[in-house]
Amino acid sequence: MKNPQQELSEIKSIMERSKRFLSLSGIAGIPVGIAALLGMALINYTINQSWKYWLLPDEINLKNAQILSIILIASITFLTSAGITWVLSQRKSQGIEIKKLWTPASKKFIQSLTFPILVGAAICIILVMDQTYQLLAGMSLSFYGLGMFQASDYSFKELRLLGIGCVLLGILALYLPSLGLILWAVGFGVLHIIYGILMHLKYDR
Amino acid sequence: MIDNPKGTYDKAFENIVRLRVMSILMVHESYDFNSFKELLEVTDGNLASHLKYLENQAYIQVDKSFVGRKPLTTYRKTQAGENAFKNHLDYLEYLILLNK
Repeated sequence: MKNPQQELSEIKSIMERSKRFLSLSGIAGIPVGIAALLGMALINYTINQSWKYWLLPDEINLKNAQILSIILIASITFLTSAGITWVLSQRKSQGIEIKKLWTPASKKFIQSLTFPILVGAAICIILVMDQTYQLLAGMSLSFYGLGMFQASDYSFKELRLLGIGCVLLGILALYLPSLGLILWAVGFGVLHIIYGILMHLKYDR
Repeated sequence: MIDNPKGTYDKAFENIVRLRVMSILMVHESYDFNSFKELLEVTDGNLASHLKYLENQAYIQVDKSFVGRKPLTTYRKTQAGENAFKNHLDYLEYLILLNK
């Protein structure tokens, strides 16, 4: 029989490893954050016709062409971010087989992240249909943050902080809607870049 | 100071693969054969024999189903298995207390 301390830590270790999706690339935060900043800049230009002015007016009136552009930019940004994360995570896991990324832990991670994001997306669509654009930044940040907070149980615990950060920025964006775009950029952009750098320093050395 | 030995050492968990299998089933509702194999890095035969042992002890139960045409074998702990594992943990903690 091994020494009991060793046995207990072995038990704890295998429980963690089975529960958590740790092939998720941390450094992906950096390109994801940069993509988000670019996307935000393009969206801002669509609304404000400027690269420097980032505040939102109290009443936002958008033409259909603008709405479509924004939806397109946001979708491309989101899909690019997901794609980058997927590719970098595949390279991080030992094999390059897709099977190795798809584990009970990664399934739970995706499930717990996707549900709040889908709910948030549905709410955002209704807001757009209702032309209540001021709440979009706050809603999307809050639901993403909520999802990340929950999903962190199935991956890196540091994601919890990322989730909390996004939720706080989201609530602030609901309170100060004119700062919507700026807070969006801070949440999806800057926070993700900082997360990427911290994770790289902590784990990839 | 500790008069009553707590818990029971369970020979079933003497083998590290079986210890790990049981640990995993304590934190998952169910877990499938291939996921065990990938995580524990053991061969089909090795894993199958340990799972059979635990099944014979009535510590785990097997559910066989299909995903389309592919067979899917999943395992869950039984109440007896959970009790045995907790007893085993109690015993390990008791040993650690003794050595303090």
